[in-house]
Amino acid sequence: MKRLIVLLALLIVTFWAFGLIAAPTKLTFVCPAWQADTVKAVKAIVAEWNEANPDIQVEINWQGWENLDDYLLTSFQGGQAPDIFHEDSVMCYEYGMLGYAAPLNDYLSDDTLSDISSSIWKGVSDDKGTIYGMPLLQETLVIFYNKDLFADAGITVPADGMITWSELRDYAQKLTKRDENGEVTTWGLLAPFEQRLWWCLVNENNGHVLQQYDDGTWHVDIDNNARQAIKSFTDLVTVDKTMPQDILSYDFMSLLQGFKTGKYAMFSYGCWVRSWIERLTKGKLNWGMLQVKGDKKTVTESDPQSLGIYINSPHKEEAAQFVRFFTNTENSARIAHADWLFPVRQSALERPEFQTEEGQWNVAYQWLPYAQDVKPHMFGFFSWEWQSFLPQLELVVLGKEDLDTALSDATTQGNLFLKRMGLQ
Amino acid sequence: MRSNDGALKEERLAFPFLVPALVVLCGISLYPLIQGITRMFYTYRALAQQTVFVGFQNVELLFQDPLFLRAFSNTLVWTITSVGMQFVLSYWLATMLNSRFLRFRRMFRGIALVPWALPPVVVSLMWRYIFLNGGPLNTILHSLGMAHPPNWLTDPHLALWTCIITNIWMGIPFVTVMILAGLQTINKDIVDAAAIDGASYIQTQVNIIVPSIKKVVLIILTLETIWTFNMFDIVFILTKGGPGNASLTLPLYAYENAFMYYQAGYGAAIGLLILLCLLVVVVFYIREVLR
Repeated sequence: MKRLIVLLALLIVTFWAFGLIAAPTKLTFVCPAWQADTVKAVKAIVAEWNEANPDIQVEINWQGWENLDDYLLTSFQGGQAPDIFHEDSVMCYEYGMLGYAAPLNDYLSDDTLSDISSSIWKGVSDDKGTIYGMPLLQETLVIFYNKDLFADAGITVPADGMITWSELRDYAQKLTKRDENGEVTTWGLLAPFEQRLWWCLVNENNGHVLQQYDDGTWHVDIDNNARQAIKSFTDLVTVDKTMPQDILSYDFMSLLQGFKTGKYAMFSYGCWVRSWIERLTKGKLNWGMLQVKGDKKTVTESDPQSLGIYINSPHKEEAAQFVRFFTNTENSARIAHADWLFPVRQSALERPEFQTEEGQWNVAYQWLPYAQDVKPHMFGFFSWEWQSFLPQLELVVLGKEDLDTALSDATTQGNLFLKRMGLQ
Repeated sequence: MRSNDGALKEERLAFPFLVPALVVLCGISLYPLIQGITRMFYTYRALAQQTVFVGFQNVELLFQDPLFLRAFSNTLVWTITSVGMQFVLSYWLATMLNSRFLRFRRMFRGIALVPWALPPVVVSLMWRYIFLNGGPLNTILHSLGMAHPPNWLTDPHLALWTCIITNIWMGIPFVTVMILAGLQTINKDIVDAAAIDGASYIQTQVNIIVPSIKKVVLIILTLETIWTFNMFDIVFILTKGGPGNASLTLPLYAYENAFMYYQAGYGAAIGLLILLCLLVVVVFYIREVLR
């Protein structure tokens, strides 16, 4: 009887130990992909990984972009964060500074480092060179335009689609149509605040809104070049009245419908919106893309995205393996193409599918050399922009305050905020 | 005397059995409160990349922050107007629903409860759609001949009031049901006697009805003040505090600081101030109830 009990106990312990040893490592991957083709591509890549790596299984946790920051921040603070997360590059950097994202330098090969441009790496790194995100995607901010409305207005665009600031203003004026009561029936341009065309203009004019001093502190110090750029943007609403106040509170689907029906002759958005225009208009709308070039330089927003790893993940090494697989040349190209974006890897960018005429990939592609993250590389940039800068510009757009007063208030309030953030 | 002793003994016996529930209750209620208060004394310094103890600095900074002062005054307007209008409209509605001359009373009472049954998020999304520039409300106003209907959500002078209207609509059912319950406890003989004595409608309301439901009114006003002061959903979904921070309220500002601006300590300081404001209301309520 004793022998039987001992034998049973041994069997139980063996099975238990075997079960523990054999249990695969489980990783959670927070993914904000939402377009049907991208979701399909992500699912396929994860399935391929899971099949090839039975000992490291990845589970996708789908989240929306609109609540991704809140979700991750509360997860980090609660100590229950996912092992891997897909975010804006700037957020990977901020989570790194807060001590939530793991440094990735040890997990990156020289080939990977040299395959991606230094400006993209800078966006996910701190001043000491610590990298907190593995870059994956980028885009070009473009101006979509209705070719038929342009033809009706007698506008001929340059062959390369690149127009000057004054041409943009001139086009918007020519395209804005009013009925007999003076009501606008077609707006020349709609450039939503959050899409940051105005930040591109500030950069093109070599302007500075935020400045980092030699001691590392940050200050709101708006120079004349920046003022000139911001004025040229807000004048479209307040002086020319060729852009509606809807830039403050637009609805994405209404914007697309408005473009389709001719309510907006031009609108500024990331190049991935091509997929939505194609889908919505089913090839019946004659549309194209423009890029605004500056006198001093040409800049378009790249808005890069990256993958980060939670610093307290018990499986950082395994997570890094998955990140390497997910962001390799082949897979980054698959995801980028499905999402109508561009991969950040040069080796993936060279693939022919990113330069085809179909879907106007070639047009968006040609402006990649001008793509950069137009947001100053300051910790808490979004917070500062959202809390103390945009509200002032909103008042200008609404005609409730003049630009000088608004920028003066933005400087005072912004510096108070930066001080509170410990950036001064 | 003996019965009192017995009761006391019973209470003493019951106490150990209540301890587990009290521990859980304290854990759930007090732990987050203590955490919040403790967090108020710390702040994250981005350049130093560390969280440091700053004592009462977060509280001091509140009073130098124009946005906080704006959020505070907005919250007062939001709370006083919402609660006041909810009460007045609900009182009128409850009086009508209590009238013996109203047909289909039960049906109307059921319908009146519908907005209360909807989650605030759904209510906010619904009203956001109604108030959009090209939404149903402006379409109706336009068809009625108004050439330029107001920009309900993007006009800095209107944004807060748009939120208030939504909150009033959402709060009326609860207040109405509460007042109605109070009205139904009033002895109709007294009201009839007042009518026979020649009391006017106003005199009846002021001297008989309202004093009779005073405690119900106090409960309603206290609860509504606390709920409205703390209300986050409506402003967040309708305007996100904009445009130009015109509709920023304290709960939203606390949330933004804690979860968007990495200023958990500052957010906690705002939270504590909200708690102190509401404690004044609660103390007033308890004093009135115990009187």
